[in-house]
Amino acid sequence: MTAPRLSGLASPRAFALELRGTPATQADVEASIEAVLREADRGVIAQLVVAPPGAGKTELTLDGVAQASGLHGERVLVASNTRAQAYALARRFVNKYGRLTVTLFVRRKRDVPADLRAHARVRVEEHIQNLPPAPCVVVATIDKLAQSALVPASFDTLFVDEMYQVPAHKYLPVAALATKQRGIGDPGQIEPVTKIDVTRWRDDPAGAHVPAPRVLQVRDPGLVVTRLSVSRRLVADSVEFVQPAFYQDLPFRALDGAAERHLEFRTLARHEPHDDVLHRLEHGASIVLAELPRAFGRVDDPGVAATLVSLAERLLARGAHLVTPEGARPITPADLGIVCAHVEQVGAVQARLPDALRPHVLVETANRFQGLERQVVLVWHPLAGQAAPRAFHLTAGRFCVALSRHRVACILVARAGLEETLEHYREETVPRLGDDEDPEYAGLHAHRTILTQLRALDRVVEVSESTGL
Amino acid sequence: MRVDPLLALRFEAWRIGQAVRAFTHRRIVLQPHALFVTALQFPGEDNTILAAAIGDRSRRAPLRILGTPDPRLREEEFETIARFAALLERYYRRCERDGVAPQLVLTSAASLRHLTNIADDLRFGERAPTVAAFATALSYFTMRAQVPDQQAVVVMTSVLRTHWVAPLEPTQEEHLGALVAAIAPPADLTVASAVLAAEQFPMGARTMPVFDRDVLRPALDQFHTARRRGASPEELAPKRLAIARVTAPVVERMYETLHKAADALDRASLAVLPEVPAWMQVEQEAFTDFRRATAAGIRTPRSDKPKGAAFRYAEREQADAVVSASVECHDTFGRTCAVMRGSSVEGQVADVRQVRVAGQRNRVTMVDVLTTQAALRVREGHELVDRSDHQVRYLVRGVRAEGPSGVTTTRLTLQMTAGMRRVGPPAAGTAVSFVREVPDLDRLGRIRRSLAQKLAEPHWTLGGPIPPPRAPGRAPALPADLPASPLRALETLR
Repeated sequence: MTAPRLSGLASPRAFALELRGTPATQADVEASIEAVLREADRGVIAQLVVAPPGAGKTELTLDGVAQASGLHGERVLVASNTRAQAYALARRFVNKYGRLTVTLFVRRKRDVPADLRAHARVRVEEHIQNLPPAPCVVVATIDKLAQSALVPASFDTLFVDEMYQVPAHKYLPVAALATKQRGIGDPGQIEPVTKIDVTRWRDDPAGAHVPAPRVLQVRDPGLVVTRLSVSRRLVADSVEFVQPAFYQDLPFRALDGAAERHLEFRTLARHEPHDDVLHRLEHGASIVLAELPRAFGRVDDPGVAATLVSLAERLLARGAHLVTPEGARPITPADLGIVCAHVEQVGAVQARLPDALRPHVLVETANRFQGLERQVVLVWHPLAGQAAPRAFHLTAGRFCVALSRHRVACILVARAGLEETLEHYREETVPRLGDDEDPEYAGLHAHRTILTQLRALDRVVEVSESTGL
Repeated sequence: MRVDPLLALRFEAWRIGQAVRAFTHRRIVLQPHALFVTALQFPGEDNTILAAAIGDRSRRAPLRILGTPDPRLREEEFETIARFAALLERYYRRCERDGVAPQLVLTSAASLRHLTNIADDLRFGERAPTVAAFATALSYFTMRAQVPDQQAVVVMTSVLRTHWVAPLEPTQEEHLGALVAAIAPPADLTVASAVLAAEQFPMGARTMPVFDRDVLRPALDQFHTARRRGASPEELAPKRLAIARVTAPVVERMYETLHKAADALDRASLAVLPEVPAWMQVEQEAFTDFRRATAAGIRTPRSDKPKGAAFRYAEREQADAVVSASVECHDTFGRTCAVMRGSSVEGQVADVRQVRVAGQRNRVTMVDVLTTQAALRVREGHELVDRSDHQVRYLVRGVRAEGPSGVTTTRLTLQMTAGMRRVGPPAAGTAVSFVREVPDLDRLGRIRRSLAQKLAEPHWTLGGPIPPPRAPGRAPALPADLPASPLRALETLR
């Protein structure tokens, strides 16, 4: 990466890393979408769209689905990972394309949110015989489709949203439902969770446990892969961290720099230790690490939990404002998110949030945060307090999700000693011929890259233990 | 703070210096006909049989000891394998006749690896059909062993470690003798000295290096010297016997320890998970399928094609799900672990009310439950099932942390979806316990049927040829003058 351009703390953008090369524009974004849609117009059998965080994957899926159904007159099936994603897709589709109808294919109608059930252009069906026979858009979860009695080739095109989260064994039966396959996903996200021993398939590049896009890449050597190269969510400063750490094969840029989106703190207050973190955010740094004194032990480290909460409180108390060319608006609790690695950490943070914040601040694990975004995100560093981390803590996908949910600022909270922890890490997985992926090395690389960069750019702020419980 | 219950038991075991009980319900039931096998490999040769002891749980059949002086002499080893194959085939036939599933009991994971090496390396050999047939027969067990908590292969160290946490290092726990000594030490020895004494003898597939050097090698040298000078079969017989005399006690000791372990398990009088009979039925079906396939000349593949992998993955995943659910529902320790992990919920009913929901004619029953669990893997939209009555079900409508800051109290707002008439809603103040999943034994069948239907036809994602690009058609009722740009064309659909 290029050397940081620091011009002294006095400058309002002192900490911001600016865009490298030509800045991305809205025209670039549209050109990418246009390229994907043109390939579909050619009738290619398989298409994979690889996108960085916040590239507008869902929008592109909606456009692709509308094109296939509304312009090409096809029967289109859209498979999502979770029910929540299916509902969100259906809702956004009918809102964007007012002339098209969508059918939600579900296990139980009563689980579907009332607004969708009441929507004039949303059909909700439980049985396959009630699915529309003509050109249509059917949205369902992968699990529902896998267990349904739908027969092979009953649709023309299958769209799989967030395809990197779908394992091959789940994808294959659903893939058989349509000849043409369209996948879109973010390769930096958390890979599918496997609970069983997958040794039997480890040397198969398209084995039962791998993410579905790898199946497409192995089965179709001529696969059309389109790489989206613009992140609309992340600002340029964040891209300079996230891209080299997690997306070496996917160069991308940001649509906005610090000038278009940054934080201002408009309430004057007596200086407190956490203000050093906020100071850097105000001066254009979008990712900062707050480092607590070294300590090892509990997964639900009370010191980290209390610091996350007090940073959130301080942010609001200092009158944080989101400033864009359109104007400034105050950051509210609903703009905040806290990403944890473990479920226990979620509980520890929630227990410490004051009543006024608790209903509004989204506190979740990285797995649950996938696909979501907030203006400001606080992150419980996965390695915080881990004396002997496991592969789980090192997973690049988990760290990547945590570092790419924010639109304007991200504060990592960790304990001192991260370098030593990484230095002494011993790999758990034994390499095997045919299995070229090394997730532990990828995790090590990502953690080291981020940490080195944070130190080099003076983004690490030592903070004392908060007086949490 | 989350406490790992197994770690807590481990501390306790070290503190008191003896094994303590963990999971309360057996997942595996040893069948009286179960085949007890202990086998040794020749040092450095992973897929050979130096000696083996074969018997059964009931001890009605006489113990068979097989041995090969040097399995590197393939013809000699093939003879041993042929005898083993005959015993195995006889056992399979007896199981078929009696309508039961075969069961193989081994000392440790190392023993299973040994037999897996034999099954994988020898079943595709062309040179010796008997050996290939034996390896194929053995592959029934080695493949079933990959399914979580199946009933076909019992790895005794694994079973004992499920029910006892011993004051041992993890590698020591893989030694059946040490584990049995820690669970049931002889009256005249302390646990530590009993473990130490037990560790002097092998319990896996390999002999001790000292044994190899001081006992086995001299006997082998004598045998080979006689062979090389062209000794007659009569002259070689005592040399063979000398080798058998040193290897047989090793496998016999392992065999006896295996029985001791089984006795310890029986003495513990552990309750059996209610799903076990159904799992035995699954084993029987798997065995019938295997025998049918073998008779048709089909051998278990070394690696899977995409379709086979999808079936196999589904089978293993479902087995894991059913076992986990069963343990969470019925096993006392399993339930504790689930609560600490957050996958089960224990709490108290705070409020019960009838509310009107838009779009529904009848009022629905909402139940508020307060829980103080530190970990909670429950989210809106999840289904919860009453642990004591699986027909009473709830849909999670809300999860909210509340109470004074610093105390983990979570309010779950649940909509009762089943059991309203038969059982009725719980009263306020009642202690409740919920699980996310209950054992669904029919699910695998449903998944298999669905997979069979969807994967019946060749599809390019399964490895078939890729069809050429298909120019899409044009949707009816589109304006004639669509713009050339697809993005602009989409504007017409807004």
